[in-house]
Amino acid sequence: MPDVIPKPTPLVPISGAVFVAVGENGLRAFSRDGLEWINQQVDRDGVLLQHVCFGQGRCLAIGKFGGDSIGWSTADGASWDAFKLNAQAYVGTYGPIFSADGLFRVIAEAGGPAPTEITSTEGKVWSARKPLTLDRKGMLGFDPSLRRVAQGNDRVVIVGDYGARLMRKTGAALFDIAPSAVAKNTLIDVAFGNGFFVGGGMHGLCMRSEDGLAWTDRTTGEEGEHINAMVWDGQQFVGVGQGATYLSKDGKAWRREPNESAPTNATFGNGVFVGTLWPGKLMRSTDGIRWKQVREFPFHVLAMSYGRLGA
Amino acid sequence: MNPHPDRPAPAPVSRRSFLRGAGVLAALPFLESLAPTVLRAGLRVPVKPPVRFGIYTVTGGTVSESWVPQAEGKLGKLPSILRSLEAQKNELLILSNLAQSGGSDGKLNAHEHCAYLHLTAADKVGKLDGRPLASQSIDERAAEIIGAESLLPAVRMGYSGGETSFFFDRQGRSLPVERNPRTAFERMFKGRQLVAPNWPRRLGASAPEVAKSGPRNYETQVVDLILEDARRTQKKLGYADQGKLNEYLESVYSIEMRVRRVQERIAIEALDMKDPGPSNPHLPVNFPVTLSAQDQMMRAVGRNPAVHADYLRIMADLMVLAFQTDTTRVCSLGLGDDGALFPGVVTVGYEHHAHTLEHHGNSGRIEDADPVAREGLRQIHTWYTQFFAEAVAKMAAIDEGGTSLLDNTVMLYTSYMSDGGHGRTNYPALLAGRAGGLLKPGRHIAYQKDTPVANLYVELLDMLGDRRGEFGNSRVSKKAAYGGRLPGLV
Repeated sequence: MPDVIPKPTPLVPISGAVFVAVGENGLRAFSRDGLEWINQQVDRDGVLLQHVCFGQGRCLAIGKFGGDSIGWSTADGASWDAFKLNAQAYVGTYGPIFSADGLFRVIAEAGGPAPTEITSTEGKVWSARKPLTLDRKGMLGFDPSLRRVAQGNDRVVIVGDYGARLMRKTGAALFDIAPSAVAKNTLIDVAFGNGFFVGGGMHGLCMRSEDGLAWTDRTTGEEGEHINAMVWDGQQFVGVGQGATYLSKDGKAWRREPNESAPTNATFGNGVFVGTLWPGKLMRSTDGIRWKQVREFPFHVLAMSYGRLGA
Repeated sequence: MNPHPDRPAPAPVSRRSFLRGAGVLAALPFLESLAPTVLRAGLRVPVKPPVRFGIYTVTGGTVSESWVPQAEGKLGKLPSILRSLEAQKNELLILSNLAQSGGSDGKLNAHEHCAYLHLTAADKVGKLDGRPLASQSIDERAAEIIGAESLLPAVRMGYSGGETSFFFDRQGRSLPVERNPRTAFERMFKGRQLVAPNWPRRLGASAPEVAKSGPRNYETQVVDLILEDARRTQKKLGYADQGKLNEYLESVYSIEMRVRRVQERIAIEALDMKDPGPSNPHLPVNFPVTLSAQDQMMRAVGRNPAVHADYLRIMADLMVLAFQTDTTRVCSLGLGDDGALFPGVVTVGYEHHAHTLEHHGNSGRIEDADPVAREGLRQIHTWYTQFFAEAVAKMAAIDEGGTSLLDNTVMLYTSYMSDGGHGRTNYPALLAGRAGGLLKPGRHIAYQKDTPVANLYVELLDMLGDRRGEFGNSRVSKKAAYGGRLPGLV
């Protein structure tokens, strides 16, 4: 941990590839390298920003404040447009969020087995809810929250609770649901690289899929080494687990490396891994194995992403 | 033999001095033969501080395979949720296969159904005019039995997230619970000089007699005036009004009783101040002293596990202090929060909301539950147990004059749902302490499937002196077992 916690810097418009961290009390901050964080902003006590992504040159964060579902978007990392998602009736939770086909997309769950999606070009005006799928029987469990998204091979793949996996090809209206979902195969996170989707889960669980529907090559690690983050660093998949990091070039053959101070949430960009540990600790690593705390925010970070601001 | 005859023989070391000198945190187990004695009716009888009854119940359903030991009998390595209690294992009695069978009138949601049954073990619960309706809860019955001996018959604290009711009076009406630690502290301890009772002196003398013979103070004189005035008025009233007046007089009488109890207590504690018991009063740490600190704590408790942890510790510390100072002998804590967030506590997956984890982590078959959510739920209950374990350790370290506070207490550790799917079978249930020697801990007893929780409450009340042998639906449950009792606790 650094001896002196840096004070928030003055807000400056930024553009290009950056990390973003969002969290409790409306925390938002950006970084080029995961080391120096700028444009740190907070809001009212109780504002929770739980999801964040980049798209269309903007950054979108959504969350909750009291009984409201809220969101903010920015094009320059300094000034944010605020909005509410409450116009969508009967929705219990919003998220995960991602950008595809030129639109921001938010999964809207109303309880029950049929999640929906709302879309927006800039994150200000949102469409009406549309069903993700018509195949209600394909989902496992009554209320299968969807958690993480990866894109590649001209498709979007979403993983969620009870082993749920959904896939939609670019331009298609609806997702297909992977058949025979099994709870023990629940993936906590998923990434795309080297032509494959690869997911990680409990006790070092790893699985891969080429099309997002048929998942094979199931391997497990050691008890308790839950993989909370799966990222593709350009050369290999890196599954950051509790106590060990699992590494593989193809998602099939894995190497286990005991890790230190592993975060519970991680992303990759600009050659470095950036993650977070409660409360508000910003962790950084160059190999996904050895992590070092580089900063402690005044509030906890709930979501991170790496993407591009501006044109 | 003195190994150094040139020096005076060392003075005998008292048990109290030894424990203090050794920095021993865990007091010896309850050994009646080692207990000090007092002279009563010409006979030396062991000093037995009163038995206290505590409830430490947490919200939400738990993860039974990580809570209940697989083997019966002497406790081996504890399951992961209970692991923090390992050092106190010999003071624990784990009971499994207990269930609630009481029905609902159809006006309750599943959480209310579980909550109203939780400590009442009623055969039916419901709502009347939108208000909770159940039968008397065990804490209230316990207070009727042993509450009159202490300053406050019962104390109920918790509900940080505004949980639904666990506690009910004899008429089945929901009882208030103190959410705020500062208010709870002031209600129990404000204006008092905190002192640990000198039980040998208290039990050897008749302090209340001293107090009763003292002059009547201002409060009791006021009560006398009210009663005298009312009695004069009573003669002039009709039958219906006399009934109303009688109710009024009863409440005035209860005030008088309370004033007298306070008077007696002041006299007793004045004597204790001169010659206190062996332990120092256990004061809570991280206490929200100011109003703003208190408000800040209550706002953040459901969102910030660090603040939540402070809250749990403070509430448990208040309970320990209340027991230690004999402020009450019945104390219930309704802790945890279904709606709370647990980042940092849950270190797997992306969901930190307890209620979501409860639901997704449960299913009709465990293998169909979401494993990530179930692991998160297990982590939350492991976290809850850690604070209970701290409280138990503190009680074990408080010497009451030969026995520890834990020796003289029976603590029930449980949860108001057995699983996150609003389950009511195989409740988590654990007794900590020895109830003054009435329990034989260090074991796991597995009863027959779906044995009524009411049976456990009958046994607990029996330990406190209730001889009715019946509570809740212990005899009328459709799953009635063991004649409404729970064998093997002693």
